[in-house]
Amino acid sequence: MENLCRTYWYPLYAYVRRRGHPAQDAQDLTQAFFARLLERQWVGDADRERGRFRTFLLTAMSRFLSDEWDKTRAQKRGGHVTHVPMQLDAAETRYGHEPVDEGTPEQYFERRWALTLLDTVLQRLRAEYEQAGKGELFVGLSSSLVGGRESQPYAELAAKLDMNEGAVKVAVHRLRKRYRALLRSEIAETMAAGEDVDDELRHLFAVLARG
Amino acid sequence: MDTKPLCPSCQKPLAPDVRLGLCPECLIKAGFPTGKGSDTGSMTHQAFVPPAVEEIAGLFPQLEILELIGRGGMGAVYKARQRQLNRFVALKILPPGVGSEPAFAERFTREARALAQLNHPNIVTLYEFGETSGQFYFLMEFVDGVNLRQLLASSRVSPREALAIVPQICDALQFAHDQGIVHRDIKPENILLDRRGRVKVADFGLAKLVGVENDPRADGGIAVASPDLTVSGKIMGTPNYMAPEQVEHPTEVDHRADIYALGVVFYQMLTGELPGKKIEVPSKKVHIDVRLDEVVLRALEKKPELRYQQVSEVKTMVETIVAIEPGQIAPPAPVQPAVNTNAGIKKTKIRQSIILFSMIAILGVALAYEIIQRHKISQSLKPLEAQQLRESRQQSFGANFEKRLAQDQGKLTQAQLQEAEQLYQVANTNWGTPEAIQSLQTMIKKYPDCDRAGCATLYLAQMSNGDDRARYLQSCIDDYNDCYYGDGVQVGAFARFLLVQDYRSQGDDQKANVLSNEIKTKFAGAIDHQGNLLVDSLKTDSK
Repeated sequence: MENLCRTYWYPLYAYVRRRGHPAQDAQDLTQAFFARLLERQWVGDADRERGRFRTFLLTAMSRFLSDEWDKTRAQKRGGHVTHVPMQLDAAETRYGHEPVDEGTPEQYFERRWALTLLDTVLQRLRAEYEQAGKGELFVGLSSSLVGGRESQPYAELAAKLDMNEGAVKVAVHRLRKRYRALLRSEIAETMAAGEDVDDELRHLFAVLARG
Repeated sequence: MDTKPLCPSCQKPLAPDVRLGLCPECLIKAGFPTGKGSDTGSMTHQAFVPPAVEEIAGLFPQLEILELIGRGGMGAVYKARQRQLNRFVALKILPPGVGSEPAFAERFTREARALAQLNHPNIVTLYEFGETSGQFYFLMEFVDGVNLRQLLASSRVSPREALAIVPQICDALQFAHDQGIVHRDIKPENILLDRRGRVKVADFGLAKLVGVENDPRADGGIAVASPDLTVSGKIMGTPNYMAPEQVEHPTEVDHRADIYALGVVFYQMLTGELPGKKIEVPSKKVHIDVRLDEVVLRALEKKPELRYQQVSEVKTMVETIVAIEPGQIAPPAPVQPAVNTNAGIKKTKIRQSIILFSMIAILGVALAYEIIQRHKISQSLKPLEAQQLRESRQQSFGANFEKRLAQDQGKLTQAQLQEAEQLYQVANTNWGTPEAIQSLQTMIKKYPDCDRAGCATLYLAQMSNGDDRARYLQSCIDDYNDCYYGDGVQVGAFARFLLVQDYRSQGDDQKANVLSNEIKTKFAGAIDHQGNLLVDSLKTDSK
C-alpha cells in the first residue's frame, strides 16, 4: 500500500488542483489524505480488497474533499506526519507545465494516473538495463517499444547501434517482452488478486485515447 | 512549434509529457498479450510469427512442405515429405535471430550432434540439423498421432493408460540420461503417442540449446514458463513442469529435473490436475492403487537428492505395482464428453479408437478389452449388447428427433433452415473460436424457437467459461429443455449433467446433488453424445 502511494500520489495531487484548490491547499489536502489513509486503515479498505487501487483512490479522495475539507481547513497548515515522501513544491511546478485541456477533474486524474504508471514502468525497465550495463542499448532501442513487432525498422536500428540485424531482432524481442511483463506486473500491483489485467489495460488505453 | 511530432505507429500527435518521447497509447497497446489467448488473460507468448509454407518451401527444395502443425516459443514445426526417401518428416525451424549470437552456431552443432546419438524407439529421432539462409532447422521423425496434452484435454487418461505410458517415458529418459543428455522440458506437449500406441518423447535438449525455456535475461527476473491451458487469468507463476532447482538455477540442473517433470506429468495423467502448492495425494482424487502415491510423490520431491536418482527406478516401481495385482480393475472416472460436434465426435472416436486399439499390442488383450469397454467405441470388437442398447435408444429418441425436425421445418422456410444450418456449420468447423461463438449467437437470435437453437445454446455453453457458461446452461434448462440434437441427446438433461460437474468443481455440492438427483429421476434414460447413459456416468458422482 505504501509503495503504491509513493508512486501514485502525483495524479492525486493534480486531481485536487484540478478540482480548483489553490496550490497551498492542495498540498495540505494531499498530505492529510495520505496520512489518514495510512494511519487509519481507511474505511474503504473493504473496497480495496475487491477492486482497483486507482478507482479506490479517486473515490476516497473525492469523498475526502467533500467531507473533510471544512474540518481540515481548520487545522494548522503543515505538521502532518505522512509516510509518503512527496515533493510537493516540484509537484506544483510540474502541474503548471501540464497541458490544460483534459476534461473533468476525474478524467484528468485518470490520464495522470495512466501516464504515471507508464512512467514508472519505463523507469524500472531502464534501471534494469542500466544495472546490467546495457543502458545505451536501452536508449537505442526504446523506440521499438511502440508499434508492431513486424514494423520495427530493424535495419536502421542495426546500423545505428552497430549490431547485426539478427541480434537487433533478438534484443528488441527481449526488450518488448520484458516491458510487457513489467507493465502487466505493475498493473496487477494496483489491483486486487483475481481482477483482470487486460480489462484494466483496456481502460487505460481508452483513457489515453480520449486525451 | 506549429506542428507536433507524430507517433510513428499510430500517427497521432505526441503528448509532450511522456518520458522518452513515446506515444502513451501505443505503450499501453504494447501491454496486451500477443496472439490468441487474451480471452483467458493468460500470456500466450507467440511473438514469433511462423513463415508461410511457401516461404519455407523455398528454403528446403529437397522437401515438400505440407502444412504447419505447431508453433511455440521454440519455433515452428511443419509436416513435410522428403522427396527422395519418400517419407514424412517434421521440420522444425527456430525463431529468427536466435542464432545470431556469436557462439551459437558452434554450440548448436555440438548439441545437435549429441541429440543425433539418441537412437531409441521411444525418442523422436533427429535426422538432420543445420542452417540455411540464416534459418536454423531440425529435421526429425514425424510422429503420426497425438500429444499427451491433446489426450488430457479431450478425455481424462485412465490410470491403466497412464501406467502404460509412463514406463515408456522412463525408457526414453533413461536412455538419454545414460548418454549424459537431460531433456529439461518434459511436458505433455512433448510426449507424443503414435498410431500404434507407442510413446515418443520429443524435443530432447532443445530447451537448453535454444535457451528459451526460461526468461532469456541472464540477470533473473520474471521466469515466464510455458503457459498451461488449465490456468487462466494469472499473469505470472503459471504452473509448469520445471523442477524447483531448474527455476532457481537453470544452468545447474541435472537429470533429476527430468524426474520431477515426469512426476508432474504422471500426477496430471492420474488426477487430471497439476499438483498444487500443497500436493494432494492422487489416490484421494481418483481410484488408484495407493502405492502409486509414493511413486508420484517421491518424483515430486522438491530437493533432487530426495527424489528417485534414476528414472529406471520409477519404471521398476510402476511395473512392480502393476504386476503384483493384475486383477485389480480401477473403476472408470466419469466420462467427460470430449468434443461435441459430429465431426469432432468422429475424430475423437477415431483417434481414441486408434490409440486404444493399438494399446492391445502393448498391454495385452485383457487390459485392452477393459479399456475399450470403458470408452465404448464403435468397433467390430464392441460387445453386441452395448450396440443393441444404443440402437434401441436411437430408435426411441430418433422418433422424437424426427418430429422435432419436422416442426422446425414447419416453422421455418427452406431458406431460413439453410441459413441456420450454415451458421451451425461455422460453429462446427471452428469450434471454440470467436467466429463460432458469434455464429451461434446469431443463430439463436434469429431462430430462437427451433431445436437447433437448443443445441446451439449448449454448444455456446461448452465454448464459454464462468458466468457465460452458467448462463447458457441455465438457458438450456429453462428454454430448451425438450430439444434434442445429435443422436438423441436431450439438451435439458445434458445441460444439467454439465452443471453438476461445474458445481462439483466449484465446491457447491448442494446444487450439484439437486441436479444429480433430477437427472436420476426425471432423465433416467437420457444419454450423452457417445450414447452413454448420463445416470451411469453419475454413478461415481456423489457427495
